[in-house]
Amino acid sequence: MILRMGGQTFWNVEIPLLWGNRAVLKDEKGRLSVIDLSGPVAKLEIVGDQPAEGVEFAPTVEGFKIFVSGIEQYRYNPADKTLVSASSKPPKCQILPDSVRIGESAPIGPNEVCGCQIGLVVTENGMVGLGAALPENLARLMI
Amino acid sequence: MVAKRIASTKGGAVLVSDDGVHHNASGDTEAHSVGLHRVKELDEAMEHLQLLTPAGKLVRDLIAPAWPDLRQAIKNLPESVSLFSVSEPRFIQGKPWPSRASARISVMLSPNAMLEGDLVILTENGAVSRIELTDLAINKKAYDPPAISLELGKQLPRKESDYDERVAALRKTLGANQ
Repeated sequence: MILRMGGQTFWNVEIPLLWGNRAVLKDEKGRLSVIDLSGPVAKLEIVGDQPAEGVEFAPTVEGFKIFVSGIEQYRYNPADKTLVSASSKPPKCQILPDSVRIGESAPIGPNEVCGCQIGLVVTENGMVGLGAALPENLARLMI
Repeated sequence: MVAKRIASTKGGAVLVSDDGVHHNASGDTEAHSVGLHRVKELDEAMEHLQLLTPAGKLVRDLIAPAWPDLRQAIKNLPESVSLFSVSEPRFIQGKPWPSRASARISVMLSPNAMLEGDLVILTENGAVSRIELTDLAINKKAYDPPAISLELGKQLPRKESDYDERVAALRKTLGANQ
């Protein structure tokens, strides 16, 4: 199967983008979804550019913030497809039409990733990699 | 430095910056002396300027159907929904309206009286089912009663939800990817 996101092409990849412990996916209309994989089961946080049902959030001028147990986790701007962590870890991530920008670095892409569990990984400390195995402690990507 | 100069020449200013260097406590006295208010995001600046934020608007929309009931419970509440400020807003996403909202709100009862309290709104099936106001105070003095709880069934305006379509689109993406 093939998935295109942020200028990257992913072939037979389980998670196209892993941002910290969160999977980021783009649907056919270009809307982003974010799924937290840090717990025992995957938890949908953003679905198609909107907060998912049951998720704690607050709308802002630019989009919305996502909270867990009252603590802000990150902000999402649906207009420019930018995810900004409240703790700055992992660094800011923007899904551009033809590339992915992590932090303030130069845009990444276009690339092709084939046959890896993760296509593009952004770790908490800002390391970026193409093609990686799924960390053992993460939940299976299912909704 | 630019923000400080503008604040000192204009009699005050708001600096919006998420850079930690602009929020260091060592600059508090200096900022206060020129009327420079420092915030980390645009929504905080809007709250400071008493402008309606997107979160404030959502609280206002949710409280509106219950306003007549609140007016019966609280003396001198304005006829129309009039929130002076909404801070620390939080919502739990529902369909189509949030299932829960909470915030610290303040309402002007008169030019000399400001009511403050912690608001919780619960909704069910597109209607406001319950409103709670706690820690009520007028001009920082405890209101009598200090808490109000209303069981309601006030219908919210009809709002279309495309949530299911968004979930279906995500499932399709996941299906194509696994």
